[in-house]
Amino acid sequence: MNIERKTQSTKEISTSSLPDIIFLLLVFFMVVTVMKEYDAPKIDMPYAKAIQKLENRRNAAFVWATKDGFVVLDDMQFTNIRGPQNQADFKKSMKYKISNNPRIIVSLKADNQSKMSLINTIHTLLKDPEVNALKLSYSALRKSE
Amino acid sequence: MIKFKRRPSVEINSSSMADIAFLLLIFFLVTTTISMDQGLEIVLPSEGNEMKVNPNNITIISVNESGKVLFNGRLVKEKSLDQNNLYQLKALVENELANNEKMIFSVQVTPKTKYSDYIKVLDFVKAAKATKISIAN
Repeated sequence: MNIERKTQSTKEISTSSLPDIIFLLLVFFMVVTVMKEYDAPKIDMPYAKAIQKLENRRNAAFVWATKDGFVVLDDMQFTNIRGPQNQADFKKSMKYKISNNPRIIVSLKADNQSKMSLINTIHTLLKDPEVNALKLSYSALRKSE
Repeated sequence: MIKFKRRPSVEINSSSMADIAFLLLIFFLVTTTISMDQGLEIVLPSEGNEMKVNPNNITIISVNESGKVLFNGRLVKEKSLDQNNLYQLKALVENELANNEKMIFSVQVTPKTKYSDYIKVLDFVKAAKATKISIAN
């Protein structure tokens, strides 16, 4: 007895639109990516509720303040921010950033254990008429209710 | 009669385009860090721009080095700062704002005050919808 076999049609998903999808994703990631150029010091950030999201990472200058009094501005390190040479370098660097982009917001990432004397020194440097970086954001993590 | 020669089609083979795109996609996927930066925003006063304010429109909130908070000289007792509980301070700020919407809250700290205590106080003052906040050294 002959068994008749039906010829089955090939069931394949068309992959012709795959490159388009990949390109779309690629463009998205290219736009979103901001290259990291430096390593940040380790800090233990405070928690807060009334926090706002930083508008744009491109308009932000990051200042780290560790509990040991170590200050980092983007890629520059200041071991003694109270010293005149360090202060002059900090002001020069911040002034340069502000002149390049006047919309800059300083995001201050300070350690929980830092003392306010250090934070006040940073305030004073930012308020300096030469620098005039007045928009400040105390970086914090979101505290759950 | 004019005869047209058939030319072989000149096309760049685009079959490897998807591979290249995949490679780039993986690169950007790995290097991307989605920005999660958030914080308490304030605007610092520019130097030499001090102005006189009616003393009735100022509330002084002081934070000392052990984390004790004074609200207009009165100790905020309810719970310590270590318990992350400053709801009494929030209520006091809201009360002051209800009485006088022009009220300026001046947060005063000592050089040895911990940054975490300062942020906790600032957070509760901001959470009470206070907009005029002054930071004194």
